[in-house]
Formats: sequence, C-alpha cells, structure tokens
Amino acid sequence: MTCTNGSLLRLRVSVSFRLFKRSIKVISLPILFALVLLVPKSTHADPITLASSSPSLSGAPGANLIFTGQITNQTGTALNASDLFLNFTGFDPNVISIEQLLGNPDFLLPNNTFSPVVNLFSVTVAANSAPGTYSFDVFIEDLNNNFSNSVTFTVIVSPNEVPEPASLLLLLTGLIGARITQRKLRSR
Amino acid sequence: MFLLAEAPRFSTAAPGLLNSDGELTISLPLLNIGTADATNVKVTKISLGSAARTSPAGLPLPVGDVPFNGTSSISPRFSTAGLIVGGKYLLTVQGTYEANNITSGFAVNRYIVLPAPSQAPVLYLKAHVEVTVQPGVWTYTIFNDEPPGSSQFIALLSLEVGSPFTVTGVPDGWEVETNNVSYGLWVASDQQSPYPHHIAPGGSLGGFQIQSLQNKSESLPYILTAWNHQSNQAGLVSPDVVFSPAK
Repeated sequence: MTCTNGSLLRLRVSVSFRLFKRSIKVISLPILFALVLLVPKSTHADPITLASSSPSLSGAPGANLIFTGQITNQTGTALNASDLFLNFTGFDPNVISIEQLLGNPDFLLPNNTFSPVVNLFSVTVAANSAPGTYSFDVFIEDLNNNFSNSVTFTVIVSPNEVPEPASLLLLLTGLIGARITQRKLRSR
Repeated sequence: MFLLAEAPRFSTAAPGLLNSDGELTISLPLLNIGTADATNVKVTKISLGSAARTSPAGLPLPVGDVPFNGTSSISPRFSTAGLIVGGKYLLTVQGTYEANNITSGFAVNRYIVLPAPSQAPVLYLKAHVEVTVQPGVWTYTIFNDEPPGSSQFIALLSLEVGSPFTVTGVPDGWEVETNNVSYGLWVASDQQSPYPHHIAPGGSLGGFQIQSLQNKSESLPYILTAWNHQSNQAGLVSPDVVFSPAK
C-alpha cells in the first residue's frame, strides 16, 4: 500500500470531518437539551386571547382609568361578551379598585373571530395614593371554563398637579393690577 | 424569559343559585389556579349589579387559606327586589390575600342569570342576627322572621368568634357555654313546654354580648336553631355570618 500526497490529504480531510461531526454531536446535545428547557411547556394557542390596546395608563389620585382591548374567540363555540369573566390578581388593594366593563353592553363573539377594541375594565385610583407604578395581572375565563393568556396591566399614579410658583406669582400680579386699576377708576 | 414568579391566581366555577323568599343565595366556588398558596384570604367587597346584599351584612369576610389547586367558597345573599328572572347580572368579589409575605388584591367576576323562584320548600329557619359594635364590645339581637302561626321558636345561638373573648351578656332565661376563645353557645334554659323564653315567630331578643381586646370585626359564622313547639323536637336551622371579633 502506497501513501501518496493526495491520499494523505484525503485521510486528513476524512479524519477532520469525523472529528467535526463528533464535536457537533457533543456540542449539540446540551444545546438541544437547553432549548427543550427553554421552550414553554404548553405551546398550544389559548382558546381565548386577550390583547390590550394600552397596557399602561397614567392618572392622578382619584382618577378613573378605562382599559381597552380585543378578544379572540377560538373556543369552538360562539360566546357573548357576558359569557366572559375577567379575573384580577396581584394589585395593591390600597391603591386600586377594579370594575369589569366587558359585557356591558353585550355583544356576540362567534368562534374564530376577534372583537373590536372594547372597554375591558375600569380602575379607580384611591384619592390618597402615593405616586408610583402599580401592576396587576388579568386573564379571562369563559362560561365553559376556558382560559385566556394572562396580561399584565400597569397604572402609573402621577402626583396631583399643584399650581407652580410662577403661575401663582402671575395670578397675584394680575390681582394687584386689577385692584390698582379699580382704585384709579374710582378716584376719577 | 420563560420563568414566572410563583403566585396565586383566582378564578371561579359555576355557582349554585337559589332564588327563594325574595332572596338569591349564591354558592360561589373560589379557586386558586395559580402556582402558590394564598393565605389569609379575605373578601372585602361583594356585589351583584345594583342588588342589595342581605348577607354577609358586614365585610371583611374571612375565607382562610386557599392552597394552589385548592378551592374555597362563599355564599352571599341578595335581595331579588328590582331584579328580573332571566336577567344577567355581574357578580363581583374582591378581596385580599397573602403570598410571599405580601398582601395583594384580587377580584373575580361572573355574570349570573337570575333563576325562577324555587317552587320546592326550602327548609331553613327564617331568622337573622343583628349586631351593634362598639370598641371591644359586640351586642347581638336575634330576630325570628317566621310567619305568625309557625311552630318554629328559636332556642339556640351558636356563634364563632375569632379572638379570645368574655361573655358579658346573657338574656334572662338563657344560659351560655363557651371556651372563651373560639365559640359561644347561648341556649334557652327552658326544660318543658310552653318554653316561655324561646323566641316566638315575629319576636326578637337582645342582650347577647361579648367583649374582646380585639377591636377589629370580621363576618364569622353563626347558627340559629329552633325548637318545633308542635312536634316538640328540634326544628329548623338558620346558618349565616355576622360580625364578631376578628381573627
């Protein structure tokens, strides 16, 4: 058996390719395992989908904020809006008070359709709330115990607006001016 | 990115509904479908559209712990005045729970359809308890709401209490048994007919009183039991909740 340059080269290429394949196997197994861990356990679509138009709204203490969104029905049956129940968790009970608006007025949501943008719920911010960001989770449950995805909504409580010093000064100057004008008119 | 913090999540199941005697009784299962236990669950608001709530008269209503995958239930009652049979009304239950040493709020909703009034007789005693609360003092009055001519005379009040307490009021002709921690049991001491201290239909009796160092109130269960003066044996019962010292 003779060993030529060409065959040596082929041998080297062959060995390198086998090493490459082995290393790919060694590397790919943990990657595959990691990917399996990272993929969500349930990849099927939720029978009801909740999509918010604006998951974050701002308001001063005492404000009433209305959150809107769209609902997709893939439950296999037609639903009325009043067959859908909103459930809330994780909010600060000293700051937030929630009222479901969905279902009033009622409307039909046939299977495999999505609603227009509708009022979902309102949040009343307590009058004595401290400024800050308050989040909570919402999901929909229907009459037949189908559940939607969970969506996080946020209320940003802004400080109550107070007149700025410059505005106060302007107001004061205006009042003094009016008083002076009044006196001048009287003295004539 | 796919890791979520463990937290309780509340939902409801189809409630039991009973429309009887101008009241709608709702047995609402409260489910924790989250991934963590919810402890010290308290209901702070219950409403059904604009209907007047008749029970519990006072809130908060302690529910206790609801472990994940666990269920509890609440049984509010509403007057059906102004409601239409077949009409849909939004039932809302709001409250608080503790998880990971943080107190948070929850709210669950469910539209319910008012059923037709029940034709079958509902064998509950028609009676209720009212309470006046002053700091550290709870005074109860029992009302027998049975129609005139009924044979159901009230002879017993069993009250759950959330904090150590002392009985400071027992009406004449009644006696009390208590462990001073969790219950008080007032019983009419009449031994034979005509049982003069039983509370007759249409009548009321006050003077059931307890005191506690706890100043907060919660709605806790009580049971009124009647003695049937016609058959001379134990009669109907009326279970409900009323304010008593909080846990």
